Amino acid sequence: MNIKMYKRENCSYGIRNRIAVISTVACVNHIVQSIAAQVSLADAYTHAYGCDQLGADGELSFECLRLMGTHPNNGAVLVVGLGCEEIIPEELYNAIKAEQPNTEYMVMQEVGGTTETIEKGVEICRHFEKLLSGMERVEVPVSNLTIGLECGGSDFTSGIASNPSLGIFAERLCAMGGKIVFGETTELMGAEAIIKKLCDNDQIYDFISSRINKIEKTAIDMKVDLRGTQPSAGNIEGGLSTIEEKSLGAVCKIGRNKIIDAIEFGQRAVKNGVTFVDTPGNDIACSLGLCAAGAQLIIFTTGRGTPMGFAAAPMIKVTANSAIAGIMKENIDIDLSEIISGKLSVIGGGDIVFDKVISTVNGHETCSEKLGHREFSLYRISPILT
Amino acid sequence: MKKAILLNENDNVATLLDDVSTGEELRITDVRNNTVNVVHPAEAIPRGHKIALVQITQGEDIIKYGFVIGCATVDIKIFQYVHIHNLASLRGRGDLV
Repeated sequence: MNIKMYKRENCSYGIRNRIAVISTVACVNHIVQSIAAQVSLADAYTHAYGCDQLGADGELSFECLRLMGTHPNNGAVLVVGLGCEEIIPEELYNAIKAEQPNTEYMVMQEVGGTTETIEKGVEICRHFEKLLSGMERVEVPVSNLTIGLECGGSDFTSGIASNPSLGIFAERLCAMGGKIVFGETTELMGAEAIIKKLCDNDQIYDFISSRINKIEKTAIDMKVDLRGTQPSAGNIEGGLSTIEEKSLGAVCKIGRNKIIDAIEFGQRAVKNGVTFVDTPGNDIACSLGLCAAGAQLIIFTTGRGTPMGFAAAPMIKVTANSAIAGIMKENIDIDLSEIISGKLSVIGGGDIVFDKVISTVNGHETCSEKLGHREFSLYRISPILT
Repeated sequence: MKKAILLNENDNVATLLDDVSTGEELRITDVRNNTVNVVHPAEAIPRGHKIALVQITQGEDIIKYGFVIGCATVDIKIFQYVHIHNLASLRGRGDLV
């Protein structure tokens, strides 16, 4: 089966052709947002950081912004900096430009005040718009897809209907040579027996289980009960009593595929099949981790309902909770509640997901895209010390 | 009739697909929608929450999806409501240290 994608200079393939306007530091967030608001093809990549970051934490933020700039869904990039921050605009620009020739940068302290900097940014983006409007998609096999699988606002329907449907989809995509990436490490706690069976070798299982144990150790060292955050109050109200129960429902989303690789947050998935990425359960941080791993699209199952999207990739929202499918129908792409009522099988659900993925890949906008949800954040790995 | 789903034959709880009141008829089905049993809940249970299918002793494992999801903190009678008031996680319990 073939699909149509945009080919990038670094030989990756994207399903969208967007302009990334990237903040190097929180101070210029409003500038970045104002530029992106005036350019329909542009997305604002703003965050609370870029300064006061030390060591590995600072390096990870830089690398994540670089990976967003070189993400295959982006056809052009504008880096916007202030001039005195730790993430140096010119360095980020050089790092992105090495793979994405349509990259520019500007430093506010060299350009002018807010108004002038916004105007200059919009001018650069208008030039990018002209460049991008001339680009055509090319026909390529489905194996060029990397799909991120995520769950948020889970309830009892997640593990019974929506995640198992994703599992069917994941099996089908992997059989066609595609890549699946998933994470949310905390939400595998309790599902280790299943994970162990699915891991292709001991090294991969050791990597995953060590990351799960690290989180558990943190809770124990802090003398806190994980319950209340994992599962959250919303999960608990939705019927999930323990993290074990939540995790056993979450792991359904990768189906019976072997997990053939395990990578750190900020690394790219390189092997066809299912790759585990060590991400937190936090929805925005997880989305960043999956897109940094190369996901061109995220399928997001939700029981309680969430409107969020993500700047770098379209998000397909799936729910099997009929109440939310009604109340928040503006935000839901796929309603699988008929699995709960017995009118639809999980396999049928998987087919619906597959068809939606193909149409989204080929250009059909998801609800979150149409509504303008393009959330973004960086992921901190150390506290703010300075 | 109201329904609950038994996800694995080794489970000792089923998950409600409808709200039920005490004594109401409740059909337990498997994942293929075949009826496994018809029971009467010992108390009201909300949709999405769990019902005990057997008597469970304090300290015993609660099984769902064929795996342990926690343990009973008190004795649980057959067809009683199972949730955070009588089921505790065995993981991430820094509060017990």
